[in-house]
Amino acid sequence: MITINNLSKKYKNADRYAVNNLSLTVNDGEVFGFIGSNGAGKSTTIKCITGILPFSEGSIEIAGYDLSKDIISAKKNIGYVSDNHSVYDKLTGREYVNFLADIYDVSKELRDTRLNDLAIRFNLQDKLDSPIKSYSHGMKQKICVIGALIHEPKVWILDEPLTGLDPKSAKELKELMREHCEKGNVVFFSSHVLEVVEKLCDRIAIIKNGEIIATFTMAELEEKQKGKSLEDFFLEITEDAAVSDSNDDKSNDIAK
Amino acid sequence: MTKAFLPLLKNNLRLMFGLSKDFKQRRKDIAIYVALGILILPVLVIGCLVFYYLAQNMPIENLTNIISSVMFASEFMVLFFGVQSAISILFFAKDNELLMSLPVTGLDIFLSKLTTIYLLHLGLALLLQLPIILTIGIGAAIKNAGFYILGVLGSFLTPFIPLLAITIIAVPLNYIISYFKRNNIIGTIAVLLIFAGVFGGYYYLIFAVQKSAQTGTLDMAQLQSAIKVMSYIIYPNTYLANSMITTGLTALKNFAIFFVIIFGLATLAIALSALLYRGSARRGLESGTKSNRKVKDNEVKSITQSLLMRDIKNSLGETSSAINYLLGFIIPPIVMIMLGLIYGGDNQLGGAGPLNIVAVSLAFIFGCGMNYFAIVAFSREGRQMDILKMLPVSSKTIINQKIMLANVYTFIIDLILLVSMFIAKVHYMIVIMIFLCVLLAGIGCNIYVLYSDLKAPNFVWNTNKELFKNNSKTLSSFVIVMPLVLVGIASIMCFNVIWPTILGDDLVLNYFLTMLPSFAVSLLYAVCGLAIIYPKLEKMYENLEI
Repeated sequence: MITINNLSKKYKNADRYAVNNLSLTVNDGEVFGFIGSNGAGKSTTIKCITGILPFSEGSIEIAGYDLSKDIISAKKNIGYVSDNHSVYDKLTGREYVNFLADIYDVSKELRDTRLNDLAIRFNLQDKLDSPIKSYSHGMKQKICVIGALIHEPKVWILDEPLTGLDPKSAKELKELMREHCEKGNVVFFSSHVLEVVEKLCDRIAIIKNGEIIATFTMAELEEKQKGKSLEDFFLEITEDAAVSDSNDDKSNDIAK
Repeated sequence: MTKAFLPLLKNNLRLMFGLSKDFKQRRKDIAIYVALGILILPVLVIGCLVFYYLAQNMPIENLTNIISSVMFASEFMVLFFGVQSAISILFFAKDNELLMSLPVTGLDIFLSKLTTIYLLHLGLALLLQLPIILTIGIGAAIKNAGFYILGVLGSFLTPFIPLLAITIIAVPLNYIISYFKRNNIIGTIAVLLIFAGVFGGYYYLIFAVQKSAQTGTLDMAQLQSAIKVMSYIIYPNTYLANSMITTGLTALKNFAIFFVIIFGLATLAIALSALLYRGSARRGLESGTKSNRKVKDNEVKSITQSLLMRDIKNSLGETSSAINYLLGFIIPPIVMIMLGLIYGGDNQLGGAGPLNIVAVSLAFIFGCGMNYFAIVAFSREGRQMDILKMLPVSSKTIINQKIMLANVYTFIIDLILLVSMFIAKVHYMIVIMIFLCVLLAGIGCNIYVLYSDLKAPNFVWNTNKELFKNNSKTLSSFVIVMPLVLVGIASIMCFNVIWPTILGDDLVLNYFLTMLPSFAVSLLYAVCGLAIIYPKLEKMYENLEI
């Protein structure tokens, strides 16, 4: 569903590539975890996938549509929740979701049903007609999620989606992610909360300095790195000294 | 007032006057201030010369009226340039939430902001008022040192008057408005009405003085009628002016009255703010949290409609930003109507010059050059630019929506100007030609200004000041329209000389030919905008990096 080939991105006036020759594939029905340290290139990769940033080299395909050739069709298949919970503060929750529904051409019946269901699920039904600027941090996150799902996209891209959510809403979101994938769709999920990534994701990629340094399933990690948690493995693999001086063959088995 | 006042004041001054840390931006800002200084200097020199000759030929007992009028004009300049920033800073600052959480009183917050605004406008008052008052003294050969000492002292005190006037009106008004649910809309309307009143009075006064100066003798009756209403409100100037002209105990007595009035206004402003400021600021922060029981329906709109409505709500959803966008609806018609009251109806050859020049200048500057819907078309998205970029909408659709909104604004201003020019009794041929010119030139200017914003967008802003006061873009928008303004003015000035000698007294034909060069230039703007600049916009939007 997501195919990235040799993606490279260099910002204007930058010395180095923010993303360098990155390739990965996310298959239908997968919850794909995308993790890395701060400044590793996660957000840049995600913004290239969602069409927010133009990229220098490579190709990205979303649900069979090449981003360079048919960006509109590609974007129609994406629902994106950004890490900074970008919403329009001056709109109400309902206005914001309706705005997105208009753009994604969701019929009235469908948007009525979906909005109602999602609002109840996230306990936001009483606040839909209040301005977003009056929302708490978690409520803004919830309305972002609702906005990203109103058109039932095939590819759901979430950047730090659990930040600010109360436990019930966090559980709802994780359930939604599972349900979404069970329908044959894709969730591309980035988070610093590795315990959640460990439990939720079918496959995980670790990015460092703009390059993928490891791609694996949790089963592979357990088999090769017995006893190590994802967190331990992540810290080990992203430490410069550990990677460059490493005599640990087990780490290198998973790492590229 | 607590000891928190000084750190708050220092912080405000740093935010207000601190130059950008970026060297290039700092250089640009300094260059703009220098350029503005160079532009203002000839105006100031001419003003001083006019008052010098007036003072030379005037009986000394009439100088009181002139001096108090100058101070009055200076106060209105402070109001004109300052009321928008004063209200924004005092009531709509983004840092209110942070400040309210600190152990400072509402009075500390309010006074530190008021002091910042005072210092901001003190420079303006000193630049405009002081040289003219000193010139009057020299022109009238006043040897009394008290005149000059009180003139300087008065220049420091008179900027307080408009600021205190704003406070006394706005603090209770803001307090009342904060109770209303739709306080954004009511607040916007209230502030725009205050602006309208301020500008109306200012321009009526200025044009009345100008007309009197043009006729060569100062028509005191007309001048006094022009300032009569306002002089009851901005009353202390007469006492200050009297104290400058008289000597001894009389002078001291008049100055004491002036000082007591200022002190009284200040006490009232401080008392009101101590009582009301914190409460209304808190309600301002809480606005929108009132629960809305009425469940609304999900409306379906087309993509363009949806994009437009979102853009309009985002732009006008807050009073402080709405003022920036809508100021063009207030200033031009007021200036036109006030000018029309003074000069209107005189459409005979040579008589309509000032009226037509102002009509042309206003129309092009506000209709084509000061369109914030175009100037910050993309920058105003701020950090939410992400949302727009990720939507499955073509770049062309986004750009066309932005251009459409900017052009709708130009069209509305054009209509408002049309009506106000008719009220001001501008000749209908001039009105129609200006209307057409603004429509055409507006298209070109809006496209150019959009291009300018796309070339160097600023998505990282936290306050409206950071968004709107991008000096290079505003200046570039102003500069692009100047050739049009100059062609318009030059044509009208030539009209008095060239066309009547060829075509006789046919006003319709004369005015049509007068405006023809402006029409040609406007057409050129539209063609250049559409044919040369517009095709570049799509690629620029696609390559935007946030």
